[in-house]
Amino acid sequence: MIRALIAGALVGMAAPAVGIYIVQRRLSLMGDGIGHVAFAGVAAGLLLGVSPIMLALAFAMAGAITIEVLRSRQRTESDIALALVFYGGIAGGVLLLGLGDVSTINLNSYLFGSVLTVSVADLWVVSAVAAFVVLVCFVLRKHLFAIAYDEEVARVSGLPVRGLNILVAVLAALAIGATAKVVGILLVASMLILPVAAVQQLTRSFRATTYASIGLGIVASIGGLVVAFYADLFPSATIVLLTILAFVATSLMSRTKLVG
Amino acid sequence: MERVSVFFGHQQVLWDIDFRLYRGEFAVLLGANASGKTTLVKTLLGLIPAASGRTCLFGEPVERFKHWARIGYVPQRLTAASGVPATVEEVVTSGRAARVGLLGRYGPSDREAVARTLELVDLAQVKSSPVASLSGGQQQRVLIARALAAEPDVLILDEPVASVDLPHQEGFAKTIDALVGEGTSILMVAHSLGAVQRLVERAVVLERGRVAHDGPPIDLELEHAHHPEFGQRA
Repeated sequence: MIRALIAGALVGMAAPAVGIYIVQRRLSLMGDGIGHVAFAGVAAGLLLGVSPIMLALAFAMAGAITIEVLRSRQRTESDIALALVFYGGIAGGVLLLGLGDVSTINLNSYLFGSVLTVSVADLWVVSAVAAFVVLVCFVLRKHLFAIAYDEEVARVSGLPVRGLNILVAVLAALAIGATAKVVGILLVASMLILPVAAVQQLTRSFRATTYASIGLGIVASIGGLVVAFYADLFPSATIVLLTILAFVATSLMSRTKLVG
Repeated sequence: MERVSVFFGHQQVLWDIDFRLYRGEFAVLLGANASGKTTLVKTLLGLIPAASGRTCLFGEPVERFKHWARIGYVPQRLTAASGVPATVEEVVTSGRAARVGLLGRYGPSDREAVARTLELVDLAQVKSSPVASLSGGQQQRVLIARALAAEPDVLILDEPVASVDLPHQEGFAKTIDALVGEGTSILMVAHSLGAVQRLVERAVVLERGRVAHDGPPIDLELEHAHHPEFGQRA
């Protein structure tokens, strides 16, 4: 349980830290797309008997870079680029699973999360990934903000837009690979998007949104785990439902603020 | 730019454009809707590739151009006003992001430049407000401030005063006047000139993707810019 709490808090911190740039650029579906590619990685790991989380990270990064490259080539059709990678990931994963005989229990733990079975080795991977993601997002926040806010102006101002976009995609992939262990691949994008979506209804600045969404991510992860532990529920469900609850609460709060 | 042509798919939108902006000049690019003004500006900045011709910035081909800090670009509108909230100060400060290295931090000179720019465009009192809460005119001034915060040598504005109210247009004209006085070269895309009309030294009129007039601003009433015969008459 202690390991689960640590992993949950780390993921709760890292996912919104990079998620905010994805929400800002309205690529919320990108998280799902990357998650689906990570599924192919998990399937490959289970088939080959290699660490599924490491392969999920590798596949997710490759998928993220593919999405970003496709997106920059065909400026207007980023949804098609996403769809290609999205379904390609699932189809590839199913194909790989069909090749071997993988137990459904094992597969389910990756689809729906298995934070209570986090091993010490997994925890090291999650910690390293979370620390890296948060550090890079923090150091490059000025540039990432400028690009997320206005890509064309950022390019004209001389920022290496393409490189930084790929970096964000890779960071998102890393966060997703790590998060998949906690809430599962099907819910993975929720941790990147929902905390940001919830707090931005109340915040006024980008800075406040960043910190508040990270705070909410941590609180929801730990809160969800505790609730799941005592009520004997799936932690992935309680964590995600808690962030949705937070979203509903902030919506109501911002509405009453407008009225009052 | 020399003999530049641009296509969108199979449709040609710019034909053999020759254009050069001189140092310290205030030029306006006029034309009806869809005459290719924004496309010309974006091609000049390397955001849209040209099918033929040569585009240079400070004498260097745009693809190899490195000194982007010398150029300030003000797009037509705020692209992300409805995304994650950001304050006026945050957005204006982001104009300086390219000036600090990837690992660098904003220093006192950055903060001074931002404060000065906010004063200049008369937004200092709303600097902590979310950009999305401002009026259209105020948002446009945020964009102008973001470009000015980087202290560029050349300023390229795409319809900067379209939704700026008259008193602030006067303020905008003063800003332009001061910048030209400091030696900044300015190219402004406009539909109507408003308060800056008296400052215009040169007008380039685009008509269906071709330069119809390039020279001193004779008879620059908006109606003329729309008139099909304008190119021949001017």
